[in-house]
Amino acid sequence: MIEFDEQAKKLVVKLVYYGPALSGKTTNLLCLHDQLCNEGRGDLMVLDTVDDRTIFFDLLPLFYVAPSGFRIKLKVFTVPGQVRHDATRKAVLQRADGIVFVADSQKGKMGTNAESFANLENNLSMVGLDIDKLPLVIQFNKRDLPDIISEDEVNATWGPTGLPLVMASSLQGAGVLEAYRRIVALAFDALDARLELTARYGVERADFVSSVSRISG
Amino acid sequence: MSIDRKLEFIIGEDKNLTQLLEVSEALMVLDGAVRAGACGAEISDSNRVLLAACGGESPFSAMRAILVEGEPAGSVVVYAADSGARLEGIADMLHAALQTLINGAMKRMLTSEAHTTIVNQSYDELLETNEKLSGSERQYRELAASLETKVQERTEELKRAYAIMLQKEKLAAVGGLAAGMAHEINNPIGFVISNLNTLTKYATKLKEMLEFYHTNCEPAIPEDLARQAETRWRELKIGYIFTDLDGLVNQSLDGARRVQKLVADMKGFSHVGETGAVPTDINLELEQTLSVLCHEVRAGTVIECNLGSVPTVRLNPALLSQAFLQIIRNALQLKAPALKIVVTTGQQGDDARIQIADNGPGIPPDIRDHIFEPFFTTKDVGQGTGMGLSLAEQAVQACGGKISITCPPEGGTVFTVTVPIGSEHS
Ligand SMILES: Nc1nc2c(ncn2[C@@H]2O[C@H](COP(=O)(O)OP(=O)(O)OP(=O)(O)O)[C@@H](O)[C@H]2O)c(=O)[nH]1
Ligand SMILES: [Mg+2]
Repeated sequence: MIEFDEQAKKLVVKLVYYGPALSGKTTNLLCLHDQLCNEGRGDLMVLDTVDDRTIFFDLLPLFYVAPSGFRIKLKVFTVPGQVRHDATRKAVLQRADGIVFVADSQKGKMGTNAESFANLENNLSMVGLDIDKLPLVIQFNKRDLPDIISEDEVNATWGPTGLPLVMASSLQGAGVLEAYRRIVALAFDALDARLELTARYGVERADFVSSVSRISG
Repeated sequence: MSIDRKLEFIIGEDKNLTQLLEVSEALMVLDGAVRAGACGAEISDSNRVLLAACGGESPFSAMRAILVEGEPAGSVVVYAADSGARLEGIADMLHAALQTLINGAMKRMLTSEAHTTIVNQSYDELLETNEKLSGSERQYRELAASLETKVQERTEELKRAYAIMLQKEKLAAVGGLAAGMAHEINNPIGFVISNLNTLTKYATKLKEMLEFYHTNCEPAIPEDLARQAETRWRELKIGYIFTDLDGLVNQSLDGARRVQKLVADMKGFSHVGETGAVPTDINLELEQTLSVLCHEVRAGTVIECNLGSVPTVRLNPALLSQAFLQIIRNALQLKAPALKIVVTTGQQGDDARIQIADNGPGIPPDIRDHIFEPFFTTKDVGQGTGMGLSLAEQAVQACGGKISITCPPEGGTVFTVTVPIGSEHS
């Protein structure tokens, strides 16, 4: 949570797309930007890149006003996946309310996936966040590619963690909204438990989730 | 680590329109709208506070909402002489230009935010790393400094352990020797004592018989023979022999008995074949120790024993008597006129207490702390090894006891050994 201003009746929420380099975090955000209805959706900010590789972060902001007048700004970030940008990852991770971990489904990428996940765990503890309490969704991306590990294998490895698993192809648009909706809902639940968003500020979960994930057209 | 940093950036903090829109830039864009044909244009924030205005108002106007991250953050109003496509077109263009400005500013701010945060963070991490490094450097320095003392301490410990081991070996060797000797001496000394007793009886009988002849038979024999007998009696000093014989035999018996006791004490003192803790009579140990040491007692030295009642204590008697030996021997070697050593035992609380006091010169305060250190000696070269009191301390500690020294104002030194009565040490 970036900001909570009770008087101004405003909450600023942070979601972060994390994962190894080139797993498709930026592509996820591009896809969301394309799919989501532009009402309440801000412009996608793609900060400086080098050869299309994220060096700072990308940001897709969304804005929601509850019937009660309570306002929620939802900011969806990506981190740079390259190992050398660890300081940036940590900086972006601060005060996150939810994480989508974008894993690369390609065979031979399981090592880097695991490394990146370990890096996430480490950085979360460095910025004072508890991975066991933070909403977390695992997305296995690039399912459209031929040489990928099977869904059974993914389930076998990640199933025991109990974390929500989403199969996706951000390039083709599959599984992107699903992962996004799940993390939005989980983050809302976590914030509601802390701030009583529904009880005290009249923010309904269903309305919030559907509003910030309404698709265009 | 406390780093006082007032500037804190959280990436993605919400910004309002005034932060994102430079008035001078806004005015340039508004001016462009006026030049394109509008009468005037103005920008206000979400609270309808005017931020920038150009030209004047007119009855016809068009309004566009300014969005920051999808959130309404203010509005831009364009005034024109008439309504129509031209007004709407100018409004659209002005709005697009403003949004581009705002988005550009937003990107710039986000980038510098990220940059500042990362730089600060890296700086913090560097500071922390530096702190850690200097911490471990300090540790190494301290380690290096304390290493010498540590080595010294360990060396002392080793010396002590080695001395104790040597002493134990020596004890065992002496013990073995004592046991063998005791066996070899005990038998003959037994004969000697028993034969001396028999000899006394025989001598008495011979004396009696000779006496009988001397008094009863001599008057009845020829005078010449009697005179010869009288002369022989005197020549052979039979009268003197009669008076000396008893004393002589008794002295021999006494000496032999002393040898017998010494051998027994030596055997007892060395505790041959005994290992570990056994119920021990402390007074008996002291007596045996004193007996073993009797040949080291110089003429003129007085040893006074005030042995009180002490319950038996479970401990290794060989070690304890070793401690007594060392302390008493140390006292016996003192160069004091009319040396007097007082050995006192008794019970004090839960401890058995043994005090060995001498009337020697005392121990100067500055060396009192060193008295139990191995190889520490104030005696002339060759007199002492410097191991005695160190061994005594080790031995007492091995029995679970304590040893201390005090020098009373009236002079001399008092060694106090205490061992807990409930002690189960070996
Ligand atoms: N086939 C396929 N390619 C994908 C998919 N998602 C992303 N890609 C491609 O993978 C490459 C990297 O995608 P990005 O979204 O830039 O990856 P990123 O995770 O943002 O990478 P960093 O910014 O370096 O961390 C691009 O060429 C994408 O087109 C997918 O679902 N399928
Ligand atoms: Mg990227």
